[in-house]
Amino acid sequence: MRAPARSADEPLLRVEDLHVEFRTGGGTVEALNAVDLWIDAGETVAVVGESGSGKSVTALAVLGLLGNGRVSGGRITWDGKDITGASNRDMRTVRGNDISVIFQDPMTSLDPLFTIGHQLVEAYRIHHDVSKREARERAVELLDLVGIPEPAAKFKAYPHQLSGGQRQRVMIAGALACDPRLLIADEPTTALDVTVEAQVLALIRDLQERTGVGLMLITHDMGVVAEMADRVVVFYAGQVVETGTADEILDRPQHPYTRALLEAIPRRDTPRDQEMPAIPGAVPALDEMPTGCRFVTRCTEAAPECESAQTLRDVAGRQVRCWRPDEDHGVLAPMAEVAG
Amino acid sequence: MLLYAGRRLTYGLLVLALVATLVFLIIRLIPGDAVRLQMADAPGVTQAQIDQRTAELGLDEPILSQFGHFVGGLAQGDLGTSFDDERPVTTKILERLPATLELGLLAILFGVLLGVPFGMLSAIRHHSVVDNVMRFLAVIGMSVPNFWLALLLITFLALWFGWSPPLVYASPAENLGQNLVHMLLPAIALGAATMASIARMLRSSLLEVLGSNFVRTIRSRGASERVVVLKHAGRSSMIPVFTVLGLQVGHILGGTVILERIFAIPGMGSLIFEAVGQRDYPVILGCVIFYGAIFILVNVVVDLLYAVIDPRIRYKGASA
Ligand SMILES: Nc1ncnc2c1ncn2[C@@H]1O[C@H](COP(=O)(O)OP(=O)(O)OP(=O)(O)O)[C@@H](O)[C@H]1O
Ligand code: SF4
Ligand SMILES: [Mg+2]
Repeated sequence: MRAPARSADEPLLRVEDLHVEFRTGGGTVEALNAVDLWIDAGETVAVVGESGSGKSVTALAVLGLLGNGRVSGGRITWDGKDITGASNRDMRTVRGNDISVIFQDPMTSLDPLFTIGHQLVEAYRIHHDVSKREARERAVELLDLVGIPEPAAKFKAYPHQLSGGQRQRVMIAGALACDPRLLIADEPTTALDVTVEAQVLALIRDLQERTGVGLMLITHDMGVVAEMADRVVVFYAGQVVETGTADEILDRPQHPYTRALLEAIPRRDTPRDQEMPAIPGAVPALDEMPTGCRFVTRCTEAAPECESAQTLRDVAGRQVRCWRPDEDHGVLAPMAEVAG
Repeated sequence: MLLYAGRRLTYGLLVLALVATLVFLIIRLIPGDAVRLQMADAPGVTQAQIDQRTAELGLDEPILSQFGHFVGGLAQGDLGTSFDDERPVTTKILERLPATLELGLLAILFGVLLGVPFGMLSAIRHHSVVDNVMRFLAVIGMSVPNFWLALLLITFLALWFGWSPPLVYASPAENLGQNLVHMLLPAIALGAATMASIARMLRSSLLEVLGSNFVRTIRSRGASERVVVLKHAGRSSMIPVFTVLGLQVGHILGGTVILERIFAIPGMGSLIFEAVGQRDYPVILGCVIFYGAIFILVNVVVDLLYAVIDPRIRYKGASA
């Protein structure tokens, strides 16, 4: 009994009740506790939430790149196939081929010791058994596709010879080399300045329209969400707290955290040096995480019932993890559901 | 690129000149003088004979003018003649150089061939039993003096297997088999510290690189761990390893002095050892200059290797 907004067919990617733990010096920490989301083919899903809420960990978990972390519960399904805890060998056929990723920091995300051409050729040849010459042609084509001027000449450039924006374009080219069906963009423009940011986002949008690739866009920027997203997934403290269409979420946020986020997160047109309003309080430490609603320590709507354990519930046509969704809009959950 | 190499070389030569000057002064401060040591056993040596010999060797001149002669000769590539047998120092050293180079190269080979795989294994399986054992051994390898390790090897091989290294040295041209058997133990004793340093450095640099963003990118594109570790991370983690190797060459050269003595290898190490005993100043200086030149040359090559590996250094070097 999920939200009706979901398509009837099996989505491209489905993440259900995902739990992830990391082994650290002082024991294990649970970075994800109940993450649910899905992405349909060709759809743009924005993932938002404060720093440390688990957005990147979710992306890495999907790719099986958790390093010292592991999936400790839940399920990841790709194209109908359960890939939870799949072997590295199996995941290698998915990475870059079915699901690609662009990371936040283009300055450090390319190997400084190899030319960008070499890295694109490599990306293509991992999944395509073609000659170096064919792969070269593909690489030049990709550089052209992402708007690098003089692609044949730039092929021989090293990452340090490119600007940040150009490097991120090269990252995008590498991610799209094998025509993936899902592109995860983890804050792809955070490290770039504003004009370059707009260009890179326009490029991603354009490429998405041309290739029909699904997009999971992790961002802090509600302006970007409004511009690009079909649906939005809101993270808080390792959980998904609200999911809905972009219009619904932006216009009628149900979860108090989403509302606070919309007020606090700067839009792209806000000057960067301007003091940005933050949500008062801080995310509770992992060992002090409330057992009920995790937002209870900062929520202006908090009430005694908020202490009890909760799950994502269907509220006003979307999914919300809150005992007291926004009352102003008259969509208070029926009491029966609250009690259940 | 050439400019870059030239600058490193010039810098190295300046350091060498400084070192040669210091050694020139210091050896004259060591108590005992060359003439008395030479004539000590001969009965009935008169003061006149001693004075005459001192004058022959030029040791009666003021130290500054002695230094002048030395620099003058050096400028023409002449290192002077030995006090001991009056043969040209260069000839004496060149006779001995091959054995030392062979020993040094074997030690480096041993260190690299074992240190690199150990370091990689340690990094890939970090915090495993293998890693912990290797890190423990590396600390030991780095702290045990090479001559002590050599004596230990000799003793235990003799005790357990009744095997001792050959006593008579044969050059590789005379008898390659015997030569290699002879070189085996000193090369291992010399290379152990190199192996340990390389393993340690490679472990830490590889671990750092394996956690870096670009490695995550390469993994995210579906590359195999073999490509990730050997091609990308391996290449990036080589730079600090080359630095260690360059410094280790210094330790190895120093170590040859004692190990050539222990194993009766007629290399530059035993030559300088004998020369110090005799206060054969020109030979000592000649050897020091050769040792220094080798060390500097190796480190210039290491600097060039950085540029070969890392385009950022290459381009910075070219524009500077
Ligand atoms: N390798 C790791 N080892 C231990 N803890 C980790 C590791 N990676 C992430 N975490 C923890 O997981 C939590 C979620 O981190 P994540 O990087 O997903 O946040 P995020 O939502 O992407 O934040 P940001 O907006 O800052 O990128 C954080 O508390 C972080 O400390
Ligand atoms: S459950 Fe209660 S505390 Fe949590 S967000 Fe809703 S109103 Fe706030
Ligand atoms: Mg992140």
